[in-house]
Order: sequence, then structure tokens, then C-alpha cells
Amino acid sequence: MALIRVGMAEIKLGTPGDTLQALGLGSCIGLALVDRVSHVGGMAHIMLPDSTLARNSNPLPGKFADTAVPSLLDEVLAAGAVRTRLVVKMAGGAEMFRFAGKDAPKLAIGSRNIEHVHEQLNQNNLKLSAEDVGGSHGRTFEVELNELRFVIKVVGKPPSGL
Amino acid sequence: MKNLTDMQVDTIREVSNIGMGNAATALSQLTNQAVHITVPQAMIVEATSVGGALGGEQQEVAASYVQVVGQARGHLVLVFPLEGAHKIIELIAPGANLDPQNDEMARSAIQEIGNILSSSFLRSLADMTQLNLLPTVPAIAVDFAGSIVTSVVANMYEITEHLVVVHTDFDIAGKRVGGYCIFIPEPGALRTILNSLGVGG
Repeated sequence: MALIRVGMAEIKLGTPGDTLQALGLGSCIGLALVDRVSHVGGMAHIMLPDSTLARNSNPLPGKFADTAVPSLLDEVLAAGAVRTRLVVKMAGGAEMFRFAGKDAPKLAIGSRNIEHVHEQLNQNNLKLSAEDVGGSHGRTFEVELNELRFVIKVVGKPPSGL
Repeated sequence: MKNLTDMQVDTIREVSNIGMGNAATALSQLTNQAVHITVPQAMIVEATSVGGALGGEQQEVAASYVQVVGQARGHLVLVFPLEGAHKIIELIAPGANLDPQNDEMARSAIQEIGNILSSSFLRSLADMTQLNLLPTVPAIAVDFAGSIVTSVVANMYEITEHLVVVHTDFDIAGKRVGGYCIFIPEPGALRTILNSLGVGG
């Protein structure tokens, strides 16, 4: 029984009894893969869409959508999860700031993250069960593995199930 | 901190403290009230653990974000826990609805304070470094601290290692407001700044 924090660019696994938690997602995406029978699961805290944007030659695999999805899948399968029993849910991908004026920076990372995670799920033959993405507000994403409960928390509202 | 000498860290602290002092003076002029600050506490933290430095990723905050353009590019985020933000709104826009998430007047008050504080902080940094540094118009968000700061970091395509967090308590007309100023230099910009301050190498 443990509360497992999944920090930016990390991939973490949990076993029944554990809660996986990505706190304060903004443009980042929390992606959870959980075996609905054995309740073994994992979560990635994805920061950016595409590893070809990497400046660092050896980034964490959880950082980019195109490396995080296959890595997370490999890890949960290695931990004993069965592919056909995976529940796939994701949250995040917001645009926290809107800019006005001609110097407005292009801040479309949230929506590009969503797009790329979708694409990667397709390429890895994973079917999305549910998502809470986009908008301009932050989210905390929690998965209670025992109960198979997926919870979203946002500012100013009671927690809701996903 | 990786790659930074003690002297460089001390210099960053000192510069941040002076910047925050100047920001307090500007705040005093804006509100026409006496503004005192506690000695600013400057920390250099890793982007991945910035939530902890702000009192937790899920701390509800009002934040102003400007990009720093010019000779050393970076990002400046001012963060006020919601309770402090309410006090600021009362001072700047008396009678406004205190909900900066939904009320336009309240948002404007936060934007105004963000504008004044980031401009004076940067002016002070520009004076000391003799670099040309200018802020863009502030954007505002009211949300989880973690959501706001990680989104700014992600926009740089990099988990930057050097992120300067300065915490100060402002005492404005007897009301105490805690605030954080986060400076996130683009890769290379910190070196430019340190070189200009004579502690490069």
C-alpha cells in the first residue's frame, strides 16, 4: 500500500493497493495503463509531444509521448499485466496561459501532447477507455489500483471519477 | 547545484534579493501604501521539484507569467497563494469580486501587480548586468501551482536545471502577503547573466 507520486517525465508502476498520482498536470499528460483483472498498472507523466525535439541526447523515456507510451506499455506488461485487459485513461493537456498581442508565443503544447499520445496509443494498438483533456485548467490525476478508481481533481470543484 | 559554484549561487541570491527589493518599492508607489518586505529567500531548485518549493503542487495560486526577451531570454512567473492574491485585489481594486478565476476586475488587478513587479525586478537585473532585458505583457492563470509552473517549463522543451525561486513576504498596509518570484532562464541565458556580473568562468 503506497502513494506513488509520478513526477514530471517519470514512469512509475504500482501493484494492487497502491495509488498512482500525477499532481498538478498543466500542459503535461498523465497516462494510466491498468490491468482490469490483476490490478497491476502504471502511469507516465508526459511533458512533450515528440522526442525529435530533444536537446538532451539522453532524456528520460517518460518525457516524450513517442517514447513514453511504448515504454509504459513494456513496463506494465513486464510487471505481469495482460495487454487485452488493459484499461487506458489519460488526463491533462491544458493550455494554462493565453497570450495577446503580436509577440504572443505559440503555446500549443497541451493540444499537441494530446494529439501525439492519441497517435501513439493507435500505433501501439491500445484503445482509450476515457480521457479528461484540454481546456485551460490544471488537473491532478489519481488511480487507486485496488478499486480501479480513476479520479480527477481541479481547482474549485469536488473530485470527479473518470 | 550542478554546474554552479558557491559564488555563483550567492551572486544569484544577491541579485534576486535586490530585484525583489526594487519590486517592493514599485508596489509601494502603485498602492500608495507603505510596503515592507522580509529578507527574500532565494533558492535554486530543479524544475521537477518546484512544486515543493511553492508549498505543494496542489497549492491554489494566482500567477502572472511574462517572457523575458532581449540579451538573456527567460521566463518570469510571479506566484501568490490565493489568500494573498485576495488581499492584493482588495488593495488595488476595492470592491471587486475576490474570485480571480472568474472575475475580470480581479484578474486585471493580478495582471497589474504582475506587470509592476516583473518590470521592476527585470529593470533591476538589467541595471546590474548592463543587459537589455524586457518583459512581454503578463498572462494570468489561477490554478494549481504545479500545473502553472510545469507548463512554463514544458514550453522550453527542456527540464532546465537552474530555476531560481525567491520567496518574500510583503507587508502592505499591515497586511501580510507571501509571494514567490520564479526566474527560469533559457539554456545559456544564466551563463550570459553570470558573465555580465563578473562571476562567469
